[in-house]
Amino acid sequence: MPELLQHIRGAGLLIVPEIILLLGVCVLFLVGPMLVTDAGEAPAGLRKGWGLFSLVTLIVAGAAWWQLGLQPAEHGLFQSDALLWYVRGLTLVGGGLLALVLWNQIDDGHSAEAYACLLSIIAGTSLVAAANDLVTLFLALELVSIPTYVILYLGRRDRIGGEATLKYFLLSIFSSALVLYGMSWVYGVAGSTNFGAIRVVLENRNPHAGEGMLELAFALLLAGLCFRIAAVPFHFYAPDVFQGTTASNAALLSLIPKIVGFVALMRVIPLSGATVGGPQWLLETDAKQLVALIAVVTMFVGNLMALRQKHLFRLMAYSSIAHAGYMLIGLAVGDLLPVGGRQAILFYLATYGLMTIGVFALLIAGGDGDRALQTDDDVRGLSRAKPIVALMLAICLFSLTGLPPTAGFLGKLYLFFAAWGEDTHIGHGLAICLAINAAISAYYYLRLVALMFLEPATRPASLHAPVAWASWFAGVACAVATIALFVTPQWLWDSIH
Amino acid sequence: MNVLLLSLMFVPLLAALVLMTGRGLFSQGGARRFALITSCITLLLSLAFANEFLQLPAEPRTSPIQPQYSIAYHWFSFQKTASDAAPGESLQFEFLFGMDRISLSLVLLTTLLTVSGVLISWESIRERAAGFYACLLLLEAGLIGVFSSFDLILFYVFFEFTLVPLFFLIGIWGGPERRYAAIKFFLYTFTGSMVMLVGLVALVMLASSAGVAQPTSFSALAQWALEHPLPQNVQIALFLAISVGFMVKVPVFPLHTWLPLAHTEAPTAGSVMLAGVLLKLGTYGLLRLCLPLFPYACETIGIPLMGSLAVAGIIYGSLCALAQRDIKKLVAYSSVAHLGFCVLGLFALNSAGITGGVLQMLNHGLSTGALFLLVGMVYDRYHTRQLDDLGGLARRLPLLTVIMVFVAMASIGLPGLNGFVGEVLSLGGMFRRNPLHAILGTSGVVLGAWYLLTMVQQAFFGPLREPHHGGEPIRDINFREFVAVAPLCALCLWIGVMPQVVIDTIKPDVDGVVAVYEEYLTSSERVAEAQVATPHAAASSTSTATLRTAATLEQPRTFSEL
Repeated sequence: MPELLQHIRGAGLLIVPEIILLLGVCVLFLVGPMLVTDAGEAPAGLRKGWGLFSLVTLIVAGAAWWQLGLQPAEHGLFQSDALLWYVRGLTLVGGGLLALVLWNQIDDGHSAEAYACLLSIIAGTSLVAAANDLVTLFLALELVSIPTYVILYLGRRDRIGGEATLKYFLLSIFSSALVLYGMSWVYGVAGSTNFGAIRVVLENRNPHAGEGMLELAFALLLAGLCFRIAAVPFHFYAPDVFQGTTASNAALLSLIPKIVGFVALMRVIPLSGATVGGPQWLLETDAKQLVALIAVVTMFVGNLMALRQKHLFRLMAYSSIAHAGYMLIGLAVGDLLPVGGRQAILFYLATYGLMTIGVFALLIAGGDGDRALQTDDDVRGLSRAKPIVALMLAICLFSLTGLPPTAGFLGKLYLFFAAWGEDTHIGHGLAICLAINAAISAYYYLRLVALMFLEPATRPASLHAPVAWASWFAGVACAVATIALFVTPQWLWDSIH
Repeated sequence: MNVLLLSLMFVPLLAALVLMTGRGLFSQGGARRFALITSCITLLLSLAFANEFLQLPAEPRTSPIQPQYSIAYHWFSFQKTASDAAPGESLQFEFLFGMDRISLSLVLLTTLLTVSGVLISWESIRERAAGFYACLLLLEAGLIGVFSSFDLILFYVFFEFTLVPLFFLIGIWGGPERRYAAIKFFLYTFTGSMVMLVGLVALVMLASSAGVAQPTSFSALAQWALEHPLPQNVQIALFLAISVGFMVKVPVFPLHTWLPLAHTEAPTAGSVMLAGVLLKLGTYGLLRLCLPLFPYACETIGIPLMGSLAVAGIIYGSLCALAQRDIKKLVAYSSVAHLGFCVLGLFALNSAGITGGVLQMLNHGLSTGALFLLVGMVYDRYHTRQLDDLGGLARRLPLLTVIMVFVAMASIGLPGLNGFVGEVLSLGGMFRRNPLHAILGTSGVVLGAWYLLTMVQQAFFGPLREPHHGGEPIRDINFREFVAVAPLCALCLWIGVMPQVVIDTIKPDVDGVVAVYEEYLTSSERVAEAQVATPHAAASSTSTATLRTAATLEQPRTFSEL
């Protein structure tokens, strides 16, 4: 019995920040309903209280993350390594920004539940990186998915919102099933769900035994997780869901599932036998071609479809698809010297998080009160009405384009180096496709900048509408951070190792 | 000096930030005064820097590109410690700012033209003045950054960054078609730059895997390329990829279509900066990157391809200029032609040609900058630039006409003025390489005289023809406008009369590039001799030659031995 306790304690120590977050979730879920009447009405300003509570929880979890430090360990269901350390920091910072963005995008009556969902999504994202067992990994993935369904519904409860939620729900369940099926094939080959045990079995197995099973597992896992990162052909939900939900949810969807998807891919791909090499693995040729193909198609579809979008959330959905394509390049080329592809992905995730959360935060801050800017007409002439918001939004958009001096440029540059360093036709081709796509994407980002700065405003600016200060602050912080990160990128890159 | 060099960039940058963030606090008058003071301070700083720079003792050259003075700050490395990484495994970028004589002259041109740009916008920019001057100063900071970057990635960063302020300058304060012009300008150049970026990345990875310690530094790259010439097909591929970005910027003939529109729609200050300095980024990039690194590619495809494109640009640009009725568009097309001379000179790949090319960069900046200023002055008075509406302005604007005639002569290339020296050197250099290009190029001089003199004659002489201008009295050039244009004219005359001073100043750095080609020619002569020396083994002559070449290449030659 003491052994079991020891075991639980050891595993629990690895995930202290997530436990803190989940305690916060419990408080929100249990206390939240007490403060709301049966009709769902709550005292005004309650959402601010819960937002503050979530921020405090995130800060406490962040302090725990910092105290825990980077100590490689492995303990049954969980493991702790550099990837976990980085992803945890990234999601906690991203979570803090998302909590600010959510500030006025939810009504008082449902704010407790929405913040609870946000915190459990953040916890789930870190747990994906902490998982050391197929079962924990799947549970962590579901800890992200299920609150996402709820938060999507809470944000907007009209017909369009309902449709978006349902679409996301059905496709997400489908993708979860694919992942689960892929995992079961891995289990079938290895006879264990523990990552370490699977690795040992794969290293020592007869290469001809169970031929085809692992390939199938790889394909299923890739397909299931490509849904999360919104890669073509699993991207169809993204534009409709983005359009049919609130700005804060769209910001959440554009970043968190990408972190989850890429981290999970990095964890499970070596287990599906599609790799060569040890910890610094590379994909096998077939797998590499498949991933490279998905990357190229995703980039082109995302960018070409984005060209004609008039609804900004829809445009950002396609932009998020395109960025998934860029990041897949890093996965296809793998870790090579001097610039590792997976490091480039992790760096890109951080910069992408800043840019995309920044855009949505500023769309909220630029809107009237609780209503975010949504269409072309809304942003037209924004530089007259809200010059600072327009300027910061322009910085974020230039960063998405990959124009210096922004962090987005460095993210793309590292992917260029990673791809070219691969030094085969695939790597060179991917770098060239990235260049072409960056040029295509410049058009639609620039079009927005032009709308904001070069056109006169069509709608009179409502001067008395309250400014969403939380979003304003988050957006300005993101925009300033993209420039600051451009000047001093070294610490972030070093923390990925 | 470190402080001077950095403040050259940071003074306009900070001033731009102040203008941008505090735009509510600045009235139109306050903003323009603030901008004028900043740009004058920057000009003085650049002069002070030049003064100290020219007193620096000459160091022995070790590389074709060698900043005589540089400062470096760590920016980024992919490995935690560079020391324990094997060659090819470490890659680091630096904030490597430096200056050599060519870049110094272009920095001076930039700071000077910015002052003129602020002065010429004094009255004409009324709306969102703080934003306008912020963009102008941001552009200045970016341009100084380009010329003082001696790190490949840093160079690219500034090269791209200059797009942003100019995009806003054209798009917000431009003419009626400004939105289309701004977006076209941006997308055209950005696309070219992306192609270039792939080439740059490939070049850096190549150098890094070859064990170059600083694979992004200009001088290290140039030295490496001199000692270990790249394989021929690699040179051609990289040359094409990298030069596309610059060819769009120059612009070289078939890629020039963004230019007339951008020029015509831009506000006067924007046109001045665009023509005066931004176009030079293209030729400067060719000079810095393509010429020293890819001698084989420049010799084999550079001369025929770039040469004929430049000639096509000269003739096509001149003919288009001849057909224009809008004076600004005429000047814009004349830029295409003049930059053709510049490219022609650079790709002569010899001392005369490259000197001429660099000189032509400065000349074009001065004379076309002045032309745009004068056209802007006419437009401020009459709100039209159509030749059909204007005539005999010499009666109303005698002083402006005098300056216009002077500047037109400088631009045409009248002996005694600056254009002449640059064109003669460029064409003369090219004549020794490819007489046909030079001869065809010379026709551009004749055409240049034709369209510019026609313009001057129609607009400024003959019977007075003025558009309706609302009854405001038309005054001749005032003191502010005179101050804006006079330094440029003075420099035109000075370079025309005493070109040797400028030529001597830039000579060491031009010689650095020229030496690459002397080295290249001697090594290819050696190959030819090797082929002649073994006639009895005709079948194996190629392989012998390759061996000989390989043998010569294995001995790294230092620069001083050449």
